[in-house]
Amino acid sequence: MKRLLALVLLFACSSRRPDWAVTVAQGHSEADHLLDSGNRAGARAVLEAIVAGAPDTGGETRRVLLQDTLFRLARLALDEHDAAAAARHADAGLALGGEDDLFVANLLVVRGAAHEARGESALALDVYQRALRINEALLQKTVSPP
Amino acid sequence: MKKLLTLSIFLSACATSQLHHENELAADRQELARLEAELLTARADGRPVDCPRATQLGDNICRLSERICALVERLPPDPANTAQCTDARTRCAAARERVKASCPK
Repeated sequence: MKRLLALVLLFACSSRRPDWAVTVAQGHSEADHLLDSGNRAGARAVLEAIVAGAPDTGGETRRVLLQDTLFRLARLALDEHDAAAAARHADAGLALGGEDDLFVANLLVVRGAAHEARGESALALDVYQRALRINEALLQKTVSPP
Repeated sequence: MKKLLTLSIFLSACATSQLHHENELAADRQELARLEAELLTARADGRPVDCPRATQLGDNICRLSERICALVERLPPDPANTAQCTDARTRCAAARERVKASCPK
């Protein structure tokens, strides 16, 4: 009986939904460790769980955390020569919109690489040009702060 | 009585764990707010730019320009595509100059 009570209490204690941003940080760290040990499938599962567990709301924080996670998933897919999955993840990230920031630029780079892998050179060129322009604008802001 | 004692011990441990977690979060948020304020102040004061970021962005631009040129090389010869490569290389050189001017080593 005591054991049951303890289990119920521990479950209640641990089932409180933690801050998603903290979950994301922990997940990325875990994915890093898994990749370091060569467990690519494990890392992919962790990153996919982050995306699946994303809250419906959360504004800019949600956008950038999701875009960063989808960027990593796209890169993993490219490493595994799965251009279709890479394109899917990159498109999902780009569909979240946002400013022309580094998160969007990174997604454009992996999107371009997915186009390249599928032999879509003209599309890849276009996407790389967009990524280059974003990096340029960011550099301008960085070296000439208002 | 024993059951009540067990219950109170677990509830207390649970609450302490949550409190610790929330305190950590609050501290992290405070630190983030402090760093953001510091960054804004630095910009307003005209203090030096973020050179590691500028260097990274410059490297990104040059890496992208190389990818563009590598792609162009694989395409059938076309002045429009060649111009894209030339333009990208010019942008890379300009970025390197900009970084060098703002972040002299």
